[in-house]
Amino acid sequence: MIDLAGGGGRLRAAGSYVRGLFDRAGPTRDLLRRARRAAGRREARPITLRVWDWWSPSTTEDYARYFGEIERTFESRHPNVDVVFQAVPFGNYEQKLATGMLGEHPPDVFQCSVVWAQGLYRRGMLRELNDLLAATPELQDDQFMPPTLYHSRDGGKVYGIPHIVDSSCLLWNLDMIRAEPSLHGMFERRPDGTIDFRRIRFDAVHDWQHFRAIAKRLTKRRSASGEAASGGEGELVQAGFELNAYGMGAGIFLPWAASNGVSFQDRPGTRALFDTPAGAETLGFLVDLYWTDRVCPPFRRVLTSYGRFQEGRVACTMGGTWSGKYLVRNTQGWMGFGMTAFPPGPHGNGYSTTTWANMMVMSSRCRVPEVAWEYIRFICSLEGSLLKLRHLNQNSPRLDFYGGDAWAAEVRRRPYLANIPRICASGAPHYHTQTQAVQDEVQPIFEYVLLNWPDIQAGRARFSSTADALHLAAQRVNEVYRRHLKVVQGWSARDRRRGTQGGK
Amino acid sequence: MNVARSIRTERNQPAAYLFIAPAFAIVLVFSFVSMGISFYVSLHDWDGFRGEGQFVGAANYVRALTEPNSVFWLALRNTILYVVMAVVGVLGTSLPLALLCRRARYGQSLFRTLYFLPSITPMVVISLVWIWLLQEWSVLMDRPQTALAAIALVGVWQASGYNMLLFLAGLNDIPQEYYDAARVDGAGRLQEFWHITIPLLRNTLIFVTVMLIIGSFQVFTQAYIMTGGGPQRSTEVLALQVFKNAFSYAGQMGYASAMAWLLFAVLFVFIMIQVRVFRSRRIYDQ
Repeated sequence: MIDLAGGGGRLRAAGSYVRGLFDRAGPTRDLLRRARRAAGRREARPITLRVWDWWSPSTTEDYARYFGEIERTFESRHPNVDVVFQAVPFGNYEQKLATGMLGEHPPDVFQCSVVWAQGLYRRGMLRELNDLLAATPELQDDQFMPPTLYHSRDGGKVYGIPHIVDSSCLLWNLDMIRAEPSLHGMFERRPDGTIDFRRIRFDAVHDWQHFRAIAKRLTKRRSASGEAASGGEGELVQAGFELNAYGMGAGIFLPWAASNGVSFQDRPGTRALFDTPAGAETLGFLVDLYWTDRVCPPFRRVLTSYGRFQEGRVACTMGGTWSGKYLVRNTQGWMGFGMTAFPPGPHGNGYSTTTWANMMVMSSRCRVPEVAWEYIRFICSLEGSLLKLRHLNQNSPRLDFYGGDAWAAEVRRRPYLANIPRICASGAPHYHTQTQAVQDEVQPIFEYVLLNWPDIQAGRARFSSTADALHLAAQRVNEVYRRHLKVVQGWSARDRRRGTQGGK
Repeated sequence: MNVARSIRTERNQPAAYLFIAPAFAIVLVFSFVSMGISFYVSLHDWDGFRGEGQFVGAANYVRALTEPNSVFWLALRNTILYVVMAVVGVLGTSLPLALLCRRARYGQSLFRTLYFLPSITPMVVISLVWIWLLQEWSVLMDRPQTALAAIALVGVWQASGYNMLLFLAGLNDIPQEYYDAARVDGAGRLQEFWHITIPLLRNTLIFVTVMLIIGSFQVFTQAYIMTGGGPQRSTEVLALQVFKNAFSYAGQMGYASAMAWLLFAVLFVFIMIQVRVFRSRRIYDQ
């Protein structure tokens, strides 16, 4: 209830709240701006910059504040420019982009996922940025973590500037580790030598064998009489590790493979590289965790990969460096958790994972390249990164970001962030060519191996070993690449005949 | 003769064509022209982003039908299995529900409304709710042997209420006198059902079955939301394959269109057979 007797302050606050609600949704936001303009409270601006994003002001209050500040700041610095945000759902992004590009309403600048970036560039839908980048010292490559540049470059051509970085990681329930005195070595120590139970060490797990031992230690079972049971028998009370078989495709395999020295594909996207003994060893390791060591809960279709983790039923699971803010929100901050990279496997060269950086790109049909570049420069600058940190708790691909006070303060407030820079920097590139098609090919094979391992061992299955399964997966992936290459060559040939560099 | 002349006179009314012109134009542009474009695209290696493609003739059709790793046949098999489960399931639930509802002395409207509610609920919402429900019996959705049945269960749950209403309308059209006469002749409930209800419900039954088959062949949402085609491609249905190729894989719009036309062909054959076998006719009036 609004207390009118409380004075104009509360009334103003209520008005501001209602205005904020309208301001969050795209159409009403636009309506309000038109109304303000009609009322003479907002001047007409000659240049409109159309910005697409799958993040949206209507997602949460945080995103509304972030986009509000971006808009205010950018427009105040560029009085001729009217920034128009258009939120497009991630699942429909490509289709809507195609429609926008073929029609007369393409975005000028947009956030681009690594999932689509290479494909869009090869179709000639992204503007090359080399000329603009050359004149912008603050966005040079040496300002960014090296793994974050991989997906926005192709043969010396730059078509995107990374603005957020994500990596797969291991999520650890620190309360469960704390309950095991023999595992206290996994925690950081304070300068005075005492254990800091809020922070897990980046190198808490030495290698795969150590991981296996930790997962076993953290797995708790109970016999029918209610006593603690051992040897993989009894009812599972607490799982040491969670492995998702359903619908995860290469997602569960990739970061473990990277930590065992295995790459998924070559850079141009012409050949699968995971069909190696080290790849088979990786898949075997995962299978063993489930079937031999019995440290995992039964395979079950889940809505989020860390659902059972946040319910406090699993000590360690696979997630992403972005998971932290959702875990804090979903558990109301009560859960103590930490993140690490994946420990090195027998063929690995140290801690690793997969890293990717979504980027800001300019459409090849951008009407105002200079303005669009100014926008990209703002979003991808240190200032833009700090805005993302303040409003969205989002870390940055920029190296200077981690040396500043803002990041240090955020780490003190949210200790789980501490390892994120090292996790991201340790990553190998995430696969990126025809992502969905590749995923659809490998998923049934990985699912089959994980779900039917006893049958495979007994010789009653489609495959005789993990190597056999990986071999078939690689064949299927190579078929996807071959088909895609043919399509790309067709585009290039038509462009050459037409004498143009790109598509529409 | 008079009737025939009257129909001829009506056909010669130009104003009538004017009245139907707007609706016809919409159908023409948004259905038939779109279908024509889709057929044109199916003959090309088409990329929706660039809006162009290279003519490849029937190569996309040949690829779908003959390529060694083609998912088309698997998807077709899954789709047909789904159709069988959904049609049997919906007929097996909606007709008994309609019979029960008709007999309900009180609250018939309430039951009708309750059963109809799932039909007006978006399938996406229903699918998400059923994911949670089925998580309790994870064996159903997580095993390749039963995942398709889980999806069919959701389809049946949604479609039964709507089809129950159609059956109810058909049942209400059956004159009560037939039942009264049968009872006087000593017929039991089962005999009434087999010899009066089913024959007189024949046209409704044909209509419901045809519409169910058409709808079930196009199953997409449950498979997309609930399983994504898994586990191990056990719920990979044709519409899902068309969608994936058209919108998730680069440059495969032509292949996706070819699969859509193959789906159309299969559906066309099924419906033709069905219409010929169950040709509509009047019962007892002849």
